[in-house]
Amino acid sequence: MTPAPRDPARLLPLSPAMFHVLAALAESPRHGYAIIKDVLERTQGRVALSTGTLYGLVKRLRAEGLIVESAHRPTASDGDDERRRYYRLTDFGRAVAVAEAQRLEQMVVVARASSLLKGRQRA
Amino acid sequence: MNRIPFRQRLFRVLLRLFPSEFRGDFGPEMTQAFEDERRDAAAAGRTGRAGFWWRTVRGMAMTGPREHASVMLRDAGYGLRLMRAHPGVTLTALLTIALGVGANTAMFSVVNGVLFKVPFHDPDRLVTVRVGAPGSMSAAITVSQFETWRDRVRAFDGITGFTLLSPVLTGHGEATRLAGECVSAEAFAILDGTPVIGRPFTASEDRAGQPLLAVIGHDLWTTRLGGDASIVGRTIALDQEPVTVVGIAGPTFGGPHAYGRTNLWMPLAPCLDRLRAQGRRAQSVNVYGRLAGGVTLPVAAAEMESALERDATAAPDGQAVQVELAPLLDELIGDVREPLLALLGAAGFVLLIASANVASLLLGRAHARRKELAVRAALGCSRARIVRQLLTESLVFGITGGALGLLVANWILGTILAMRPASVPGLHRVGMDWRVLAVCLFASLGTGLLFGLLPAITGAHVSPAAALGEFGRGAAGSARQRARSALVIAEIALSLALLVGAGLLTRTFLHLRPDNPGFKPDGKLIVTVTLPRAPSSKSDSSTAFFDQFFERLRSQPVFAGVSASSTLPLTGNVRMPATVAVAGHPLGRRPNVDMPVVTANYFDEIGMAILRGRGFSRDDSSGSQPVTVINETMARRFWPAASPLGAYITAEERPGLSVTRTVVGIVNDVRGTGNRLGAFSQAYVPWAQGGSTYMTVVLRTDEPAERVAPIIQSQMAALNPNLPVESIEPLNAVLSRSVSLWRFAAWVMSLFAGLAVVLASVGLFAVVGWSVTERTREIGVRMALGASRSQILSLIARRALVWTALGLALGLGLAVATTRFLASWMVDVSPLDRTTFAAAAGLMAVVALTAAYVPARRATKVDPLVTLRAE
Repeated sequence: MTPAPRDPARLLPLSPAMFHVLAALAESPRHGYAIIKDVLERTQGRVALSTGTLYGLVKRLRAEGLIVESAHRPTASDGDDERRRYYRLTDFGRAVAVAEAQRLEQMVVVARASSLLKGRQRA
Repeated sequence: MNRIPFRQRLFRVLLRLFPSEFRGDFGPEMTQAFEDERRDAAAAGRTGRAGFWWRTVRGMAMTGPREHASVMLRDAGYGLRLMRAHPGVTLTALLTIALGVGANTAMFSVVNGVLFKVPFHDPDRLVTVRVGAPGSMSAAITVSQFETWRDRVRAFDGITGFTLLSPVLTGHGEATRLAGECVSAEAFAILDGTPVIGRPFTASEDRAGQPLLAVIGHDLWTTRLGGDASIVGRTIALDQEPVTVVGIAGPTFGGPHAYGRTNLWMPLAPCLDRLRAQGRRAQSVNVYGRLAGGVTLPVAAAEMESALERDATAAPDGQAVQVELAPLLDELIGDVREPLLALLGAAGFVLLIASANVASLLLGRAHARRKELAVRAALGCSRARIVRQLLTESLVFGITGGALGLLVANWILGTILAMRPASVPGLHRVGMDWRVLAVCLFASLGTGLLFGLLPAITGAHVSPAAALGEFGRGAAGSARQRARSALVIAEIALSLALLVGAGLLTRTFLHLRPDNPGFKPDGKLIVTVTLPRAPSSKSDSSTAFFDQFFERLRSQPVFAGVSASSTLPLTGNVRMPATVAVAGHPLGRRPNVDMPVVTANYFDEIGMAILRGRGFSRDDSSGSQPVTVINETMARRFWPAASPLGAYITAEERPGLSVTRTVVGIVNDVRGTGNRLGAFSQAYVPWAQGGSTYMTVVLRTDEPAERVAPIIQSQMAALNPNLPVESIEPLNAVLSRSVSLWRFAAWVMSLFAGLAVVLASVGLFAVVGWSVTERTREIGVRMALGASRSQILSLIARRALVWTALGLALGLGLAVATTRFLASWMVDVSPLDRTTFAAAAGLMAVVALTAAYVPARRATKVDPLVTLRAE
């Protein structure tokens, strides 16, 4: 809705749930339930978004211009329903996700430097 | 038939937690995602299904309200921007709401403090006891009657006797007379008064012959006794005798008379011992009880009556005694409950008027915004959505106005409390607390809803075609006009009802205000002194003490005159002998004759007039013939035809001491206190022949009380350093206090009525103004066709006249229906007083028509050329 160039840093930090949704859309457009499943798999079941929570996030991410509805729909091979909408990252959304990932990375660097993650360095 | 599965119905219900906009946008795909997830969860077994449902319900329940909040915040933000864009309308509306909410919040905090903050649990079960025969019930219960009930009646959880003892505290700063209450050991349990430190006294300590103990009040403990907990177990000097402190009461405990400011509590039986040792009868007490659960008043009363019948000592004359129980709260706050609620109702009227005014204002704004709303509707915004947005905007108004209302409330409350209406109990509990804030918030939100609803609904009814096509006055226009007329009529009606109420209370106040109280209060200070009654005390010692005190004061050049009376007018204090016989005829059990003891110069000094016979002189000494001077009321009551001069009055002036006095003069009546306007029968006794341990000294001086207080105190200290001077204040202050309740009531009601009238006239002014604006084109055409200015004026004014007439008619009806709630505060004025009704209606009519005339005149200034050219 508001595609004007903005500074991604202004939206940081993202909530973990928001970041997971952006990460789920980083590779390809997905519909709502696919996002839920992707997040669940990526986090090995630690983050289970509910339908209500997800669509609250979708609404906000859309209003911020981080995601948009994707015109591209995959073929109806997996029982695609016309009620489903597919979402994809906008360029701005990708920039915000990258900025958040970098922010998290820096935090990890700090944690390592201060020996907080000593035992798990090689993991 | 295709039944929708339960899970889908449940999900639809959960979807209803979201705003309709959200549902419209995401509903179908959420349902799809829910179905997908459920299918996968079903494959994961029972645990998977349970986890799925838990996640779904929790997620929907958390996200839905959050979405609502975000919509509301957005609408509120829009509302705030609109408020900034129209500062004139905004300021008027906010001020109006602030006045309405402020009046209500202030009045509610009074009602809350006095009526609702009851310091007892289950107050309905607390009762007072009266005995006697029908028509002459009395709260004076003999000690043996009380003891019979205490020992035999099972209808109570606890029952306590009660009497007053006001000892002087010495040894902790200046000598001070304390307000003490003597109660049974049960009193603390039945009145929720377990001491916060130490203990209450026990039943074994509440027996005759036991030493006096004290539970001290929290205030006294913190202010005079240093707040030191180690005082418990130690002694304090009361009337110069050591009394052991056993406990310290909690800050909210106030004994049975919870609304007063009692300093200490002592066990009843030792108290009665002490009173008797001081030469008092101390034969009767008041009785309070807490009914056992499930026991009704008549059942308890019947049990008490039969207990008395079985016990001959409790009813010595063998007559059956009737017992009457009444809720304690009725005794404490019964007199003020209805009028206070009526004043709260009056504040409610002001709020309604304020709401009507703001509704009218917003109707105008909704009209001005019809284009914007039509565009929204055309873009697919539902009517519910528009109503919601307009309502949210109103709520923003309501809350902002309400916040300002707190400031108004604070001011009104400050003024009310400064008036200290003497007979409204519990005012010290009045203040802002969570209840008051909740009511303020509720009033603000309620007002927002009330005034927002009408404009919201009419606003949402906008037809896009009509509004965008700019057809100014269609069906919606006349509906709006009707709505506004109704609002104006309601405002006039409510204002008139308030005006009538204010008029009635003001008339009562003016009527009671003692322009001529029967004495001259200016330039006089009063000082009250109570002497302790020592066991050996004869009246001689107190007479000697006071004589010295008077002499010392007379020697001070600052006092032009010194006189004294045992009972001062308007204070409610009386000195009633147990028996009085007039010209040989006894007057029955309670003769209702006040026999004040006064110094010989009292009548002259206070400015009373001897109407017949003579006043007292120095010749009326203890050795001369006993004499009395009676007042007009007494003369009329007992000697309606003959002259009372030379007649005899015999009274038991002290226990066991009857004196027969000759009437030597008649003085004018002095006004009674409060609403007891009519004077008592009074028979004055000369100081030298009477004596009293309680005297109020009247000092004639132009100096203020603060300046002469040290002089008075030093004179007292020179005589007895352990005696407190209880109060030094102008006589005028006593006078003013005696009508403080009516001043308070009249002021509050007039304030509300004034607010109402101003608001209603502003409302009328605005509505007539709008109707002129809306009809400018029509007026222009009429004038172009030859209508004269007076015809135009009457065209506009006719409507205002009809509204005013309808408003007045409704208002008079409303006043007739509601003024009776103020009746208990009205003295010698009927709740339907015609003069007041007529004057209020006249005033309202004048104000309303003036408010309508100004904009109507503007209509006559319309230039037909300009309007028609604008077309």
